[in-house]
Amino acid sequence: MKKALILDYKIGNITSVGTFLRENGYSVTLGCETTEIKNAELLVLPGVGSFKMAADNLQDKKIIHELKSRHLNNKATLGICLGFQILTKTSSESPDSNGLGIFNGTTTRLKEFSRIGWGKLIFNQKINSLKDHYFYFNHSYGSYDIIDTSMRACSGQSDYNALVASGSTIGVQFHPERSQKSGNKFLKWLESEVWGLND
Amino acid sequence: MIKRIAATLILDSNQIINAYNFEVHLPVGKLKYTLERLQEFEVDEINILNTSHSNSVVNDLDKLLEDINNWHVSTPLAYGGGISTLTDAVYVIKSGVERVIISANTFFDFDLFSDICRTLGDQAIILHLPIEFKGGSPSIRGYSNKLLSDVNALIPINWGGEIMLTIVESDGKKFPNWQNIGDALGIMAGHSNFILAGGFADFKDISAGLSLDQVSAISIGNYLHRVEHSIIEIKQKIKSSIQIRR
Repeated sequence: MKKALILDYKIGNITSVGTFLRENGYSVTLGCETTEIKNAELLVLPGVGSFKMAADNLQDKKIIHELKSRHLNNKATLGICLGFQILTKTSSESPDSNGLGIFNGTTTRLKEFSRIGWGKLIFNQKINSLKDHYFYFNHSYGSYDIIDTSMRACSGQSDYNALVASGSTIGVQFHPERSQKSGNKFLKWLESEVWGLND
Repeated sequence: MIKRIAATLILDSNQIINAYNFEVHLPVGKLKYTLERLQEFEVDEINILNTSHSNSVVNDLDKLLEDINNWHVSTPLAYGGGISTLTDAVYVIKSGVERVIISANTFFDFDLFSDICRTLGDQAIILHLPIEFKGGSPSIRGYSNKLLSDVNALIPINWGGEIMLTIVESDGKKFPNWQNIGDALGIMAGHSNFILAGGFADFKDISAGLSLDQVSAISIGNYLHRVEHSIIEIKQKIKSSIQIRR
């Protein structure tokens, strides 16, 4: 059975992400110790809340170095919504707080103030298996300026990054755990095409 | 953004009920089966309004969310009912629900409303405004001295949440009151983030509602419980004229 660690940094939607992962065949644990982060087969950074709260909690738990090491060691990591934003350098939501800077870009308020609802992904490369799927978005901040990554996707007419991949670190602005069957399909795609995780 | 078809589920003591004019309640069945059915039919989101709240949002929600998580609901959820403090609102979001539905009563404590928006982010808020048209200018149900125009003036133009607008006299009926909807949307012309609810029971009306520029979603209540496969049927009938998820 595949094993996932949900980073417990006191940010919301842990329960729904846990249910989603279990339904997709993972044994799931919650944690934030450095050894857990280092050894996790898949690490998920969930997120509903404020950038400042997330940044402060990562700082307090003294896990920033370990999270960056994980990226450098190309280990499977998924940031969802705020969990994606915290992978950028900074956010205009809280200019005095620092993100992890794993993605070379910043988070700002959306031009359209917020985006709530369903959208398809438009990749910068051909990804046929996901082209007909809709994913659920619910956010008012996002990143427009991450461009130097191996894979990116935007959604609909919005030009912020809906997905960014840098090695095995993936940030998604949508919620796969609330995207019904498309969320499951997306996770399977990550496992087989990006992370190379096997049952 | 494509338009959405949502479900409104009104709960009373963990039973789903039909509501008429916000007053008469008739039991429909257990939440579990309705959630399963709606998810299978790929409704775009589910708005749960709990009318049975005790004095504790925590108590009401704990059991409900335990059930929802056991049932593997992967559809976006919003929850309202008894949310009267920032702590309540934060608790709802931390419990795994995407959005909180804030009542007019809580909105009128505008400092509290602003705090909730600042803490959770605008996108996590649905402001529920039940509108009555008694004697001229539309007002908020239960607050005859609170006019819709006053509410409109308080909401910042760049607010990123959504407004669930229910015309009270259409609630539980089989047709919306287009005159009243038009008047209400006209008063709030600066906003374009409405979920319309109340009286939507026919695909032509649903289609007409979704065609309005200010409207992002229609939330359907009683009709869902009367007609088998209603979501699938509605989507089939309107997909050629409205951009929806299908």
